[in-house]
This record gives sequence, C-alpha cells and structure tokens, in this order.
Amino acid sequence: MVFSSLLFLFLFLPVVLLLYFAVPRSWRNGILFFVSLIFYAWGEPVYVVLMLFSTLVDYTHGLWVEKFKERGNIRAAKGMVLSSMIINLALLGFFKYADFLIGNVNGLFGLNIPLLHLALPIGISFYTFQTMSYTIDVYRGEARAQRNIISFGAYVALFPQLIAGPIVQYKTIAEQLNHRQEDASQFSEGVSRFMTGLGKKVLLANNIGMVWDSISGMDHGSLPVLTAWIGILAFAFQIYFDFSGYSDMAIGLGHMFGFRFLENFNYPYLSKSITEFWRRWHISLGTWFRENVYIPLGGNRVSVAKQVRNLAVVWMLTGIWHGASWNFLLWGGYFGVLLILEKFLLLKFLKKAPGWVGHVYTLFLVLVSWVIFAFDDLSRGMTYFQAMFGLNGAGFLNGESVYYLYTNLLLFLILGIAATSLGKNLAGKLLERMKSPVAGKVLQNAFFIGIFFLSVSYLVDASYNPFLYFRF
Amino acid sequence: MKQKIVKWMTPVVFLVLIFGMAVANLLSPTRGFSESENRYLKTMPKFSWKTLLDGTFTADFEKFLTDQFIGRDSFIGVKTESEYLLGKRDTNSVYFGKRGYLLEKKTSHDLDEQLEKNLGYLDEFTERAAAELGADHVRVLMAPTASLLEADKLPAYAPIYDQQAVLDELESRLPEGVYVDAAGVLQAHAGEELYYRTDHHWTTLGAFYGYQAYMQSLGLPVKQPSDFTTEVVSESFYGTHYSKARLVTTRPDRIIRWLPQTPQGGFQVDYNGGQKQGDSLYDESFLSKRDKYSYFLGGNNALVTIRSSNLNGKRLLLVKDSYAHSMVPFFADEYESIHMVDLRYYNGKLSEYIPQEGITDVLVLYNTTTFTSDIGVPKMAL
Repeated sequence: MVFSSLLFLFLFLPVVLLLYFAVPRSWRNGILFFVSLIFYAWGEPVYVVLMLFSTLVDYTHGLWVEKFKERGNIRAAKGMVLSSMIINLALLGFFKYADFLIGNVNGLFGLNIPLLHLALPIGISFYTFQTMSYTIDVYRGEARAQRNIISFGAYVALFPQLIAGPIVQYKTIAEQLNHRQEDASQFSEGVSRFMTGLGKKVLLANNIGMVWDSISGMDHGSLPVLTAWIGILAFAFQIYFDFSGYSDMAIGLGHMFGFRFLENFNYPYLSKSITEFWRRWHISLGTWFRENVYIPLGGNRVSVAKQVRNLAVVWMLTGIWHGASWNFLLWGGYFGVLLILEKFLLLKFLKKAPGWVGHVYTLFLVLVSWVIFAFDDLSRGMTYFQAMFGLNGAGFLNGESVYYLYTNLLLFLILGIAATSLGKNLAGKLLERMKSPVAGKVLQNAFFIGIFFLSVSYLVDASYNPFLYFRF
Repeated sequence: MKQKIVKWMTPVVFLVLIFGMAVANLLSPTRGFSESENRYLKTMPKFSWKTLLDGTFTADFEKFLTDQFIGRDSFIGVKTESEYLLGKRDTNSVYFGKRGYLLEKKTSHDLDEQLEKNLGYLDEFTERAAAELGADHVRVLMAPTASLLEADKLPAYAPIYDQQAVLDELESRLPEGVYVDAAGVLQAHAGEELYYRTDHHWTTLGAFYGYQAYMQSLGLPVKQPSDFTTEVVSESFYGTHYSKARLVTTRPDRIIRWLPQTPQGGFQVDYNGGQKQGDSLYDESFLSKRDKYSYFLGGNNALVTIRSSNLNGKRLLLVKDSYAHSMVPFFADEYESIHMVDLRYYNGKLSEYIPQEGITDVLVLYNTTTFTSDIGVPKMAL
C-alpha cells in the first residue's frame, strides 16, 4: 500500500487512527505491528513472511548479543552481530541481487544459468538495514536489547517508514518505542508534515513526472538539446519531490503516533558542493553507511590511500543499494569519485569561490548523475547524454521543445521555489506577523484543505501515480 | 479557550476530512455505468483466497474505490481545470485547443510498428479485392481528423504526428485509383464546421464532404447541400474528448441530421446478424444518453447490414470505424445492401463473407488516427 492512494487516506488511516487511540497505551505497539503487517501484506501477501523472518532473526540476535556482552564474552557477541549481518545480507542478496549476479556471470563466462525471476520484495532494502542496525546498536551499547517482541516487531514493520524510508535507526527511537506521549500539538505537526508530503508527491512530483516520462521515452537520436535538458530537470524535480514527499508523509504519520523520526531531506538542491548535497539528500541512508561502514573501516583517521578506499567502498555500496543494475553502481562510483576529488582538492576552491559557482557546479553534476540513475540501460543513458550536449545532431530546439517549455513554465517556477526554503520562510514570517494565533491556524488549515482536495482530485483521476522505489 | 482552539484545530480539521469522506464513501451507492466517462465503473470485486494471494483482489479493490469515489466527476473536473490554470495545454492525450476546441494529442513518438503493419494489411487486402471485384469496385477512404484540418486550433507549437505524410504513404501504396482523396476535398472547405469541438468525429457536414469525395472517385452523380434540409437533433453533445479533458468552460456541440429533399425508400437495418432490427439509419435513444454520436447507426457494432429499396444488385462491403456512421446515410440508397464490418469486434473471415454475400463493391473507411494504431486491421488478412 502507498500513502498517496485513496485506499490509504480514506480507509486504512481512519481505521488505524480509530483503533490506535481507542486502545490503552500498552496495546498500541501491538496495534501498530498488526496494522503494519496488513499495510505490507496488501501489496505483498507472500513476502510479508520474509519481513517477519528478518524481524525474528534480529529480535533473537539482539537478545543474545546483550547476553554475551553482559557475560563479558565479546567474541560471541561479535559472532552474533556477524551472524545477523550474514542472514540479512543473504536475504537482500538473494532477493535483490541474485539475478544481477547470474546475468553477469552468464555474460562473463558465456554460461546459461537460468535466472530466478524473483519479484523484489518491497522495502526489503529499508527493513534489512533497520534490523541490522538494531543488532549493531545493541552490540555497541548504544541501545538496550528490546525484550518485547511486539514492540520490536512494531519498530521493524512500522508502516510509516516501511516501504520508502527514512531508515530509522533503532537507537533513535528506542526510548519512544515504549515511552512516547502522543498529544494534540505533535499530532498537528504530523498533519502539516503529512499534508506537505502529500502535496509534494501528488501535485508536484506526479505532475512533472509525466513530462519526464514522455521525454525519456522519445527517440534520443532526434531529441534536441533543450528538450533533453527540460526532461532531466523534470526528473530531478520528480525524484526529489516524490522521495522527500514520501519522507514528509512518513515523518508526519510518525508524529501522529507520537514518534519523532530524524529528517531525511534538507533542501538538497541548495547545496554548493556534492559533499553538501549528500548531507542534505537521503540523510538516513548516508548516516547508516557512515556509521556502519565508513567509520568501522577507519573513516578519515587513516592514511590518504585508505581514506580513498573507504570512500570508494561506501559509494559503490550506496550505488548498488539503489538497485541491482550496473547504472546504479556507476552512479555510486560517480559520486565516489566526485566526493574524493572534493575532499582532497576541490572543496578548498569551492569555499573561496562566489556562491553561484558552487550552486551551478553542484546542480550540473547532480543533473548528470540523474541521467545515469534514470536509465537502467547504460546505452540509453549514453544516447541521452549525447542529446543533452547536442552530439546527436538534432539541433538546439524544435517546436516540441518550445511546447514543453511554455506549458510547464509555471510548474517549473513553482517547483523551483518549493525546492528552496523560500516558501517555508515566507510562511513562517506571515504567521509570525499575524496578530491572532487563531487566524494563523485558520490560514494554515485552509491551505492544507486546499492541498488535500486538490490531491484527492488527482488521485481520483488516477492517471499517473508511480511508485519509484520498487527497485530499492 | 483560544489556546485550546489553536491546539486542536489542525487535528480536528484533518480527522473531519478523512473520516467525513470515508463515511460519505461508505454511504454513497455504487454506480454501474458512468455516462460522463462512457464506460462501466469497477464494482466491488469478489473475494477469494486465490485472488488475494495473487494480488488481483487488492488491485481490483483499489480500482473499485477510485471508480466509485464520491463526487468523482467533480474531482476530475477540478483536476483538469487546475492543469489548465497551471499552463498545461494537454491532459489524457487531448489538447486544450483554441476557441474551445479539444483535439487529439498524437505525436510522432506515438506512432509505432502497428502503422506499418496496418498499411501492409490494407494494401494486401485491397490488391486481393481489386483482383476479385475489379479496381473500379474497390475504394479506400482515409478520413482526415481535426488535427490535420483544424491544425490552427492546436495550442502553439503543439507536437502532432504528420497525418498528411501517412495519407501520402497510403496513396502511394494502394493500386491506382483506389485511394479516395477525402483530405483534399475537405481541405477545400477548411473553415467550415467539419469537426465537433468536443469529440473526435467529423460532423455531419464533414461526413457529407467525405461522401462527395467518395462519389466523385467512383464517377457517380454527387448530391449537393441544396438537395438536403438540415435539422438540429441535439444541442447538448459532449463528446469523447470532453470525457478525457473536462474543462468547465467547454460548450456542448450540436448534432445535425441531413434529410434528402426527395424522400428515400425505406431501409431494413440488421445489427449483428439478427440481434436487433430496425428501419432507420438513426437511433433516437442515444440522444438522451451521453454517447450521442451513436445516434448515427447505433454506434459500434461488429456487423450491421442495411438493405435499401434500390434493388440494383450492388452490394457493398464497408470495412470501417465509427467515422462511417455519419457518412453512410448519404449513400445508403446507392446500394442494394451495405454490409458494415467493424474489425475491432467482428470475428468472421472477410474472405468467406465476400463470396457468401455476393459482395460487388468494397469500401474501407477509417479515420487516419484510428487507423495508425487500430489492432483490428490485421483481421483483413483473414
């Protein structure tokens, strides 16, 4: 099930809220666990077993790790962490990467091993990372083991962040899991985040996504430069508003149930370097890799050669995490190279240069990265690059480019403003200036009601509402 | 008090919104057919463990919710209007054209191998028919659509496929004399109301010029507009393009019927081999429904035969799409019988039908846009 659906908004969510707030506090994790399983099973009735398995594995491993640590048997505790990682990565490896590996082995050695053709279980990359981080956190002493399997199950399956993140590390909500206090003001915060996210996904991302869909599907050989740039700009906006919209909805729903998840996006397109971009984009994934791969490998407290190796490893992994295909590996490698270059060379210059240089530099490189990201088929990516730089001989623009430009100009303008903190700051100032807090609230609610009804009308028409993370 | 209002306003508004609409949806009755979309809406799917496990139940259930959503038509209207205000000039493959015209959006990117296949099948079919019946008795009339003849009504720079190139290609492939230059004849009347503003069909006037082109190419006498009186049968026609692009500012179209001054003999019309019979080329019942173009010959049917009182022995096989429906009344009495076949629905073999019914003449009548992607055309080979 996805949040941006009529089913979620008008059946699942009302029923869940009713159940959740009707039962005593001690039952609430149980309710969350139960409804989350339904949420997941709605689209994946079979694979829900896999998630339960991963839950059970780390529930037991966490307990053992703690027990061994308390007895001073660090080796055995380490062994348990290793075992949890092996099981989780094996799950992920089998269901996500097996066919990719087989395909490459076949290609390399001219073999004919049959592919498994397994459908990728939705959200597997998110929940395996969460369960692994739990066992690791317990080992590091950053969290106590969770004795209540219902509470632990609620953490893993928690429907707000189950299928598209953010990746919530156990230690960040360990306390909230058993001692959270839902209240009206946090619920309000949740509503406004959820509405913001819904609007971002349904009104902004889907609208501009249609432009990318039509342009990327055209014959690249006859694509003029302008159309190609409009297309990739559209994709850049689509993926940002889609992904951050999902995160907003997740964080908002979390608030409604009394949780505080960490932020996942922080206006990434305002960055002045790629290093900064990755501190603002999919923050929970970057944090996970930093804490669980980069730092354990020695981080930046080792020789330059090893630092380069560490960055390379982290970014290859980040790339392949996004999907089992060469373009994602290339995409990760691309960022790895850029980040290494920035770390040892470019950042110094970027800091001295005027701000716009950093913005242009970053946006250009990010747009290039989206081309690698968007096409599984590397040769399609190449032909798209050729179109962007006029190497296909299709000229700078044609009537179609002009049509796409002027019919989306206003939308691009809105997207551009929404991708910056401008709107948020202005709204904040406006609300501050209003003398009466009641009037401020009325204004805010009127805005959300508008977004809500407009979003519903797009959902009712149901023409274009993709789920972009089925490969993650 | 004030503090309480501030604290509780947002949660209460949100809960009222989602619970209110949830309850409203529960209470609203299930609709079967949607007049405005001209299709059957999804109803509650039947539950079974099998469909639950393979995912079809959940998918169907979501379709059911979406189709049956309360105020569906208004919501879709709001969406379309918001797209228009945002500066978009197309939605659901329909252009918001100038002067209230809604036009098809089909670009060169939408053309695929089906066009090439269809050209091949059509050519092969006409060659065969010409060999059997004589080239004089075989015609292909490819009706141009509004996006060719009303191109000035398209939004500025709107991409559209090159319809004239398709027509030229077709003409060059067909046996000499078979191609009817309807586009040429209609072009001479550019500026007249040849197409509906809200529908993908030609108007009765457009169909009349199509008829003239057909008669001219056969070398038969051609009736003139002065041979007819006209009658407005509907002033509230919202067509297929409007169903896809519901702008509130759209005005309805008029449907006009042309009646010959000199009274015609009667007709016997048979639908789908005896399924229904009548004596009129028009079906009044559709005028009170959404799908008003089906006033002409009762809309899409697999096989419709029309027998006239002109017993001249000429029997026409008309392989067609719905553009034919408004054109047939102009020449229905030129033939003893007309056998209208819609290959999208007809499952018999034309190679058997022709000798069986003693067919003497063949006309293939499609509009270009339908023809480029129609998956029924390959059945011509059967």
